[in-house]
Amino acid sequence: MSKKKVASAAMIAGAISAAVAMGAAVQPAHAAKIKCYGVSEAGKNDCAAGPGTTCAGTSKVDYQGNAWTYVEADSCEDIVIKVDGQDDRMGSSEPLERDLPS
Amino acid sequence: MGHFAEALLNPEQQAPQGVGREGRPAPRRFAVYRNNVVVGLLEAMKQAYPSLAAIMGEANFSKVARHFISAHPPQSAMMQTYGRPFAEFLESYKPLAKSPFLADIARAERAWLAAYHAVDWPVLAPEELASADNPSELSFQPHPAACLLRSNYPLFDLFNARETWPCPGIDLDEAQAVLITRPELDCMITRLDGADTAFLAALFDRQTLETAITSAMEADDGFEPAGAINLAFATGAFCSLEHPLSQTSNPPA
Repeated sequence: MSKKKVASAAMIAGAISAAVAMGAAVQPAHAAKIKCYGVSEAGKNDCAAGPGTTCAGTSKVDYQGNAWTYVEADSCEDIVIKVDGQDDRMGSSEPLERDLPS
Repeated sequence: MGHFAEALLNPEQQAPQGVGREGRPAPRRFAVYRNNVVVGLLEAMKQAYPSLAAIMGEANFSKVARHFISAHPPQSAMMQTYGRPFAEFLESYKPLAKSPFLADIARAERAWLAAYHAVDWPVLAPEELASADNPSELSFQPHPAACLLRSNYPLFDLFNARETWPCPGIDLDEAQAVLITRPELDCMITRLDGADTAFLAALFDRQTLETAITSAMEADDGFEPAGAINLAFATGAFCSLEHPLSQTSNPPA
């Protein structure tokens, strides 16, 4: 019924240029992400790598000081989490002594 | 040792000979040990299959996982590989025959873990394709972390149950395909439409770019090759180009 569609070389070349122009490529590896301590919600810290690893969403309390989440570099210290009736929590590139599980 | 290993996973069996002090058997101590072993494996299963555990409910999941554990002692000391054949087990598990989507969830969760532990390998850069001489004749080397899964069920929604459960409105009649990749540190899961699925499946199958685009156009008139190529870059699904006549450096298997 309908004739078989075939992708032409010109169309493919055009599609590639358009795709490159969209530019949503993965950023180069280790693109400026750092571990940011003290900002993860309980059980949501990064490196959820499954059983047999010790880092898998294991934080016990919100904003646990020694649990971390990957964030863009430069943004970690800007993170301020407001909790009603408590001191603000700020991110840190070093592990913190606060909010450790008892 | 054979008897010891069997007795370890089967509470019906007696404590093995020789377990005890000064020749006296110690069945209760052995039972404690047996329980610890099974609970440890069960915990590994829950961590490997959080969406399944959410959807099935903790109690049901544990029950099924215990059946699995007694039939599948660990084959490796690496816990992240434990439970690998769970999807096949679920498929053949009679009481769950009416929920065939569970096996697909298990496959996706296993692919997600495999992606985490896959070798670190750079992804294909758009410039590489843009500067290739005859791009339509090229095929693509899949990235070691990448996995394409097609399902008759809403696999993307079901997989995300780990975050969203209990969530309203999963339509079990909807078929969804997903692409699991790890472009750098974090795994990602991407829902694919029919044409993108046909396109990527052909590329994963080492077809040329031209063939892949043609099969996607056959699957859907509205296929947009630029968007699909961009998607392949953005997800990090591939790591290098394969020229028909030359060898490229491949990641270790």
